[in-house]
Amino acid sequence: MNTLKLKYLCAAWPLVAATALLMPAAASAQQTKLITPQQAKPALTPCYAKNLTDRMLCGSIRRPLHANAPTQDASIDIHFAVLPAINPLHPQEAVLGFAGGPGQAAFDAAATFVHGLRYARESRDILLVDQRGTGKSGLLQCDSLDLTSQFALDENNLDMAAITRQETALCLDKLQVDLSHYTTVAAAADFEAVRLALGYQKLHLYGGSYGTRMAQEYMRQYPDAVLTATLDGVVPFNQSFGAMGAASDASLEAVYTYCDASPECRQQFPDARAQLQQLQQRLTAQTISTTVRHPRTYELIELKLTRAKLQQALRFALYSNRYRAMIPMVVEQASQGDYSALVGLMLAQDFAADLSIGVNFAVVCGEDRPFWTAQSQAEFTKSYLGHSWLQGAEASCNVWQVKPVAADYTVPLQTDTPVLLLSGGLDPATPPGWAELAMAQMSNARHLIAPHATHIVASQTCAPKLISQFINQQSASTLDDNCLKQELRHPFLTNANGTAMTAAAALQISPVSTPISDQE
Amino acid sequence: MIKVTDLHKKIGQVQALNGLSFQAENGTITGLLGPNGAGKTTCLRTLFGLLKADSGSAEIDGLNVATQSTQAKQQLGLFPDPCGLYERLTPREYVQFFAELNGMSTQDAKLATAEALSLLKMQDIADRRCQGFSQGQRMKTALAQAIVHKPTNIVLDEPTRGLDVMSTRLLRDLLLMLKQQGHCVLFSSHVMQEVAALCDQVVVMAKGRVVAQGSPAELCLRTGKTSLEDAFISLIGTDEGIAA
Amino acid sequence: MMNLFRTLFRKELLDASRDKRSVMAGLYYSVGTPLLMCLLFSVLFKQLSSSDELLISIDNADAAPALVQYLANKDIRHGEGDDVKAIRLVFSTDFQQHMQQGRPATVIIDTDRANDQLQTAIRRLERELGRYNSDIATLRLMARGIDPQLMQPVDVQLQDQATPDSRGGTFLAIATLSIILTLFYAAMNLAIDTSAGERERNSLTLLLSQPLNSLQLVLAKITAIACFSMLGLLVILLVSKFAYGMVPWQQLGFNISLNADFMLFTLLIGLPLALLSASLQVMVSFVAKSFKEAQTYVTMALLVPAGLSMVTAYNIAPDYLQWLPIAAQQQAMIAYLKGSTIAMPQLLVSGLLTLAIFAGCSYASSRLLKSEKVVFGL
Repeated sequence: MNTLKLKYLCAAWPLVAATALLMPAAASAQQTKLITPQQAKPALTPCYAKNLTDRMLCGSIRRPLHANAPTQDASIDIHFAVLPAINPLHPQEAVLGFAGGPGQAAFDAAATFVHGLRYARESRDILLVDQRGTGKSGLLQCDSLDLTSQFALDENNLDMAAITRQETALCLDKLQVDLSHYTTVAAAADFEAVRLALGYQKLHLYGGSYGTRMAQEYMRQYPDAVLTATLDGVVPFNQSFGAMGAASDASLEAVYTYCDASPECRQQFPDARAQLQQLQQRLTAQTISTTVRHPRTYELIELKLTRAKLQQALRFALYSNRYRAMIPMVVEQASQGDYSALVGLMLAQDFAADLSIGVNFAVVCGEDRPFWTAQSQAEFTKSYLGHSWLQGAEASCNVWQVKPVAADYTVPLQTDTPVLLLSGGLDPATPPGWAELAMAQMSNARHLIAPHATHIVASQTCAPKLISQFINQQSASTLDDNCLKQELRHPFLTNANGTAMTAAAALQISPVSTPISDQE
Repeated sequence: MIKVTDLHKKIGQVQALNGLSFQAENGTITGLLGPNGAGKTTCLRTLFGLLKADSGSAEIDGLNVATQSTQAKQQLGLFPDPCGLYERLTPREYVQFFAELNGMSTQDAKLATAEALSLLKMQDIADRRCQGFSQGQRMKTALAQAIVHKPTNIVLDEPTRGLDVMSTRLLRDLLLMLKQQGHCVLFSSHVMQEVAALCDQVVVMAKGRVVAQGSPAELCLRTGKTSLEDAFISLIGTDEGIAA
Repeated sequence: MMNLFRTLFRKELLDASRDKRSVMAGLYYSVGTPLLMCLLFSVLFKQLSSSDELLISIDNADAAPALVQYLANKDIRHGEGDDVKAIRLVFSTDFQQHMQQGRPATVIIDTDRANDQLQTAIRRLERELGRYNSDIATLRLMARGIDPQLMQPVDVQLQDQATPDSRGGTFLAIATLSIILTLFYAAMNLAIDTSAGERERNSLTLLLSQPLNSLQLVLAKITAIACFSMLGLLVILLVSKFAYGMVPWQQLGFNISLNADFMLFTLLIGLPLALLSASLQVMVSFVAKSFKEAQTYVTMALLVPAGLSMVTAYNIAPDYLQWLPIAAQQQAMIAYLKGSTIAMPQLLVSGLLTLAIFAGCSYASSRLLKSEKVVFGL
């Protein structure tokens, strides 16, 4: 039965990889149970997040589950964490971080937020709130497959739509929840309640990936609470997650373009593109059954290699410049029947395990699917990932029955609050074009593109400094974005040990010679 | 009344006081005359309680300086040499401070200070800091300090040293006035003219003891000399340490 | 009795407050020290801060272009000219070959570790090379289908109880050192002036000839001096608050901020120390035979509190020292700033000890004033 679980993950995750990047590790928090009266300032207790040595202060507030009927008994404890400013020059302000997913817990990604906001933190608190349905704020999670089962799943020869429906029904049965209360629109009020409870007068927003949409929704509902907003890897209101298929394809194409331009890669993998196409066709036609070593236990396990698995592996690899450098080699080896490197790439999927399935589908089914048109569906179906995502989402949403948000949801945010939009030129999830869509009605916005960055620019570049400047100046107009242009792409792996390349190639100056690699 | 009885005091290897006894009466000016090193200053310091006599006693109005020091000292006004001014205080502050030290309340001290300052015609400098005062101004300030609490006994250590003629005359007038008021005035000096002009009684000291005591006229008579100076030399047997 | 003390105290206060030179000398310390330290810290931070570009010499860069690019992305580059640190990074000629063959490829860091100015830069370079190592190792394992997390059998998570206010460490210690020592240095000139100076100006004998006892006189002097010590303390606290507010501590990830509560706390625990300081200095000044000698002796005597404070600041004090005056108070101040628990037993014991020393010195001074040798400076 577990099997089916995987299905929705594969089919329906819109920005899961964003999550994987945003928080590469799960949280280990010292949980503190707090019951505080509504009015009183919430009690704060020291707590620690994964991979972050700094002491944070954690607390929670109780919130009604039903925004429109707050008298009903159902309530939810919204947990949050404050990382105190190093030198609190602006005690009335905080930087509120919105996590990705949808369904990622902000606290779990604390280390990533702190990295991106480390300069901003010099003078302002960082506030992280676990969105309702994620992390400690009532995580909506169902069991997921272990790696061995995932590998053994033959998507080509199963009725995936039926499995998805079945597994979704099981999950719904377990959670017993109406996901209509977990949409972006419904969650915004929780953030505002936390702000009021902690007594911050104004907030600076930082959203990553799906978090940018949460940030925009918060601005839409509480414009007066926001001084600035930084949107990193922008998800506009008027763009469906279905378009990520095309974005992923474009990002993959960029890998091959770069390979063509790199003498070592071109020499080592002269037929790289053709190899990929052949492999894709072959796996579409039939499943390759083989045995591989389990990446951790080293046991021999069964692998049913399918197009779905290949595409997922590539999709995750595209989020990181480090893994992008492996792609031509992985594809060539897989074409030749050696799947070890591909297994390595497939490991990235593990990262998404702690995502909230409930919030993910609340957003997909409540805010995305209602706005599909025949035309947009035809567009998404052009890419393999778009197509499979549409199918999975359709099957799941029919079970979840989330109430659609209001029809004006997709109207772009209109604001004169200063907004800084950041995009990575190689982003496989939220390409720069998405930011342009989001900022159509923003009168005080600036869009900066890091050409060689992937998803979440703040994790890869000098953006943390720019964000801090932007927050301090409350204007993006004078930011110097030169440092965003640095080369971030890694030299391609030409064998399992590393790279053979010359200085000239690395710096994209005209190639002179290719070192001889005498492989052992 | 000041009474010194058989004082002995050894400072280092020197026997500074060696059985010193004399008495200074109220309503008289008594001069303590002696060459340098005769023990005048030691005698006065013992009187103030700064030095402890090895034996013998010093009494102020019958109060023993060593055993009833507070009461004894309250009956004593001091004019030290040097003056011991506080350069950063004004004469008014300075004098009032000492008035209060001698047990007067702040209010009384204020009045007494004004009185003393006017008595010495010091109004013009009363509120200037002592820094930069002339020798005469310093002397007046010190004198005001010595008399402000209206002690019965006033002791002056070399009061005329460094004074010009005008100041010296002023001092003389003052001492006479104090005498008229019935105070016991004791001063040390080695200036013959001063002693001759002022003193009712002269105590001649040498080597830590009294060699003669009497009015200047009596001393002259006793030695058969016409001037006090000659009488003095004759009494101490040398002209060492005498200022003309 | 009380009246007499008040009279003496008022005079000492008036006299001292008009001693512009001594008062100013004390205040120069209180005002100047924090400003000077603010300046020093700022200069020091420039050296310590690692976010800037690090220029080193890289030999044979062509042998390892990928690593050179990696370092460049971390702002570590080859440079020429004056800004280049004396660190040479040398790649072996067979670097690329070894890399390809999966053998360790040699990189030499040629530098002088004894050079303190290079410490931070060397550590930074080593750290980045270590990260590159683990990056490449990760890729190598993935290329073989092995989970790179296998290289990390133990996931060490450090949970640091420090707060931004508590990380200052040495800086915090030096700041508190300067604050504590104000109590001694701000009053030094006044203490000498009111004792050795009073004797030298002959007013001491006149005072002692008055109907008062020497203990009253000594206590009045000590109290007056302590007042000026406390004034110095207040001034240095205010100036420190301002000056340290200008130092970009946050660049190093911590903060030193002196809030009103800390100031009140410091004034409270500083009061007994001020009395100790005044009584000690007065006593030493009386022991000295002249003003000049007093200056020398007092300066020497102040090496004791300075030393105590210093060993506390550098955390090299043996445990029993934490019960002593100055050390305990300074520890308490540091703990207060760090937000950690204040060692109350130590603080109380040392407070009592401080008062005991004050009483001892005061009594000794009053005895000294009964000695003819001392009064007349013989």
